[in-house]
Amino acid sequence: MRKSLLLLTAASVLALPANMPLAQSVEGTSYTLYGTPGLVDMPTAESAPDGEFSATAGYFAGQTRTTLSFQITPRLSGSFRYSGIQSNVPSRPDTFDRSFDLRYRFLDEGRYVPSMAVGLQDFIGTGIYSAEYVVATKTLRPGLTVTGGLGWGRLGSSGSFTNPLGVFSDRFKTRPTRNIGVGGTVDGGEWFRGPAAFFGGVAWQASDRLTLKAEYSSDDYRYETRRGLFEKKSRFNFGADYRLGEASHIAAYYLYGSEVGISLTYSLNPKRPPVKGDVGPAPVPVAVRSAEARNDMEWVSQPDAPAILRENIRSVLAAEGMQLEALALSPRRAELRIRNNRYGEVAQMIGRASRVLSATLPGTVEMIIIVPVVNGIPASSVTLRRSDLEQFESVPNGAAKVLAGAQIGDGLPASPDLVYLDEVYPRFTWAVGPYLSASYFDPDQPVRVDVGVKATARYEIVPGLIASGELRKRIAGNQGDSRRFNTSALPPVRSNAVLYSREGDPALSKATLAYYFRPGEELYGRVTAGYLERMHGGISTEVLWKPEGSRFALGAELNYTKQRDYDQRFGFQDYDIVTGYVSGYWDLTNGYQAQVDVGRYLAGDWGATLKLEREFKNGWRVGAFATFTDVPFSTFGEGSFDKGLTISVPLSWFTGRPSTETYSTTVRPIVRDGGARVSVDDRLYETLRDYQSPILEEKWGRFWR
Amino acid sequence: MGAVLEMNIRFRTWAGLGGLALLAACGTGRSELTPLFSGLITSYTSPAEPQPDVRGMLTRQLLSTSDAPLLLIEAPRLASTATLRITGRNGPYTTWTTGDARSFTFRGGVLSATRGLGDDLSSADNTAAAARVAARNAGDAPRTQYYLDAENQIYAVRFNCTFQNAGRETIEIVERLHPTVRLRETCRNEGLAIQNDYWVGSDGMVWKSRQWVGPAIGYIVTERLIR
Repeated sequence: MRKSLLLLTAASVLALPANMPLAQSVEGTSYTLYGTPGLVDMPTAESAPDGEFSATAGYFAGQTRTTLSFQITPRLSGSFRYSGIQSNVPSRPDTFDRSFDLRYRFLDEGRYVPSMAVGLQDFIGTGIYSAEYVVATKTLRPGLTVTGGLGWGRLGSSGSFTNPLGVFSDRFKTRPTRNIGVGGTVDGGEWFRGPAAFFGGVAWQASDRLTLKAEYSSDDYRYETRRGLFEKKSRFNFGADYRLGEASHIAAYYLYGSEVGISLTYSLNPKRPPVKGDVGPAPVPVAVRSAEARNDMEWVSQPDAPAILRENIRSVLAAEGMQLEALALSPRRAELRIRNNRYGEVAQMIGRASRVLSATLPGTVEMIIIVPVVNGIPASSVTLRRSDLEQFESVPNGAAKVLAGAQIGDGLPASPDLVYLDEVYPRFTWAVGPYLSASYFDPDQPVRVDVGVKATARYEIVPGLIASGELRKRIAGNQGDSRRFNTSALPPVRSNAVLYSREGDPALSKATLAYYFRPGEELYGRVTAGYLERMHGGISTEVLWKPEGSRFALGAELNYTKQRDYDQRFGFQDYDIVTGYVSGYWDLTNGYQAQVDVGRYLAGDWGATLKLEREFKNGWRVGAFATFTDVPFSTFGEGSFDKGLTISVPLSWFTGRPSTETYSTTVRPIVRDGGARVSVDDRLYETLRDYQSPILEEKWGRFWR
Repeated sequence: MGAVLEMNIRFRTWAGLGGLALLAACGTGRSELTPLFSGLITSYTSPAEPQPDVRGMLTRQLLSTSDAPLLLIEAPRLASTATLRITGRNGPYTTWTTGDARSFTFRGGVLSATRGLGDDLSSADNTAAAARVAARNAGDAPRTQYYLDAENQIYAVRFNCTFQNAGRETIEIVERLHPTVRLRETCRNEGLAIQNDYWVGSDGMVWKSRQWVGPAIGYIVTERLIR
């Protein structure tokens, strides 16, 4: 066990001006048709508020752009876009394209200096929108901004002149054609090369809700005009952006002297939840012992005391959404293994348990050791002094004072007196509910959805041993209608998704027996066997080394799997493979999380996955990953390598009520067979990390909530 | 609650259980007051449900059926009114809870914490204010209030506060008159000015108050219905 760090000292309790929470702007950021902060089509140097997440759908002249943008850091923003460009020319087909942007604001606005940013537009892949820019924006007076910039590529295609960077080297004067290949790769060879052009504009906030914009565009729209989509008569665009509510904007545009456009933006900021704090029931106050009670050992000799106490503790914890699994009680010390059924914030779970225990444990017990249990195994331990709970319940910043006296440990070794409650195992739970499954970016139908009913069951036989399964019956949907079949040169470990959708109805989507165990202190283990996911079944094993309080953890996984039949009943196909990874997890400070996996992937390819996530201390996570393996880009096919975005949002963020429920989704521009991994429920790191420091301590403010 | 009560009898020294037993008693023992032991947050979270007119139901005759302390709290910004029972005492702090489990903790009548309102007051350093109120005297009293931001980080809001004696006032709380002195606490910092009022009896009892919870909840009004 390790003495916990005192994180919530005066230094971290910043004295903010009292109006800080009120002063947050409600106007919201104004987004372009490209779904990035800016004017109509042209970018500005502005950033959205840190953490802002926005979805924009824009349309003009046969072009649809759907964009997700995220303010990754206060200065860096990223966008992912899916566009459809129609064609009125028979020889040129309609185009569907995915594009990524990055923008970095390198200079903050001052009294005289503008804010300045540099951006890369559509810098991965086929590059229809590819452009680079340097842009400056200055606020002339509140609500009135003026922007001027220099663009290359698409943003240097109208009104252009010889690249001023040509003074450094002649190579800047010409822009090479991008070597597209199978797409998906970054080609820096053309950046800031070729003709350049000026662009700019003004934005005027006419009222609380209305912003008017005018711009001079440096985009010649050659690609679109060649497809007969519109006639470009002017370089000037005009727009009106109207804020509908806290989160949504609608905008109308008059573009290029001939066209009308429209866009809708919906934005969310993890730092601005719909309900701040917790509107669930208040906690039970701490019960303070009398001096007499602290030393009254009478209960120790009462023969039925342990049974009565177990029942009482079980019932008060159950009322707070927790399940007592095991208890070790001695005159001065209580160790409790508790399953958390309610609290997404573990510090709050510990705090709630502490409060009811203060009212239930015999007065002589001073040391309370709470061991949260996840999948039957101890995830950590929090040792609290009961007198601290009594003393610091209501005092100024009492949460920090409790933490200062707390010890956060590993959960092992367990007390030899630990007695499991009779009624906890075996435990059977089940649920029936709707499901929705979506797939994206099929050119024939960009979003395909199946909806249906799923039934799940879970049977916990002994601590750590869990049988579980899931059945799905589709009611409606079109995922199976896709005509996009596997064209992969690799074993089709993922690319036959359409066949699984079509033939698996009803489907046994999962059926596994899993065993979770603790091989020793700082070590966690898992063995999962059965139908692991809808496409693959077999056995998956994992070991995780995660020292309590460490920002670094190391894991190893070894799997033997066979590909399942398309009907997702009990049969397997011929393809089988051994896969395995060594994984490093690094909790970078400031809310960033990095993960590297190195090993052998499902198609037999060897390589590594890099994942980087921004993690908010309320459970929101937004990340990006990429996998590079020894499969050549040309063999991998469209997209060149596996990559995608992950978003995870806790339900409690929306409701303000405690919940362990989290919605997660992974968006891949394209799913192919290289760099694929078998999907197994409850990989160890993800299920355990919130229960341990540093994360547990970072959210300790929830302790007395 | 049967088991708890049973245990309470067997182990009389486990004083802590009294709190839980009291909660049970509140639900069943005082039938006349049950409708008054009402929810504060109901109308906030589900606006469709009309809130009972708590004030309209209150009569001294009804209140005389109980001698347990009872507090009324109005939270205008939540459009809610509720009566509260004492559910915890810890040193100088007393915690009061509504029927729908929203709690308010006071130190000598001065608000120290709230729970279950959303953007709650986590805790407060208001020792100086509580001393001014108890002694009914004017003068300076700095205070610090602690909140959680949307990322569960504790932040402190510090104020410089001054107490003024605003004169004698006799106030009526449900047909009963209380001679009080009204104390006005004016607090400022770089960004905010707030004003708390306390109507304090000669023995330091806060019969009525209007106090600031925080930026989202705004002010609450308290009235002590049963001493």
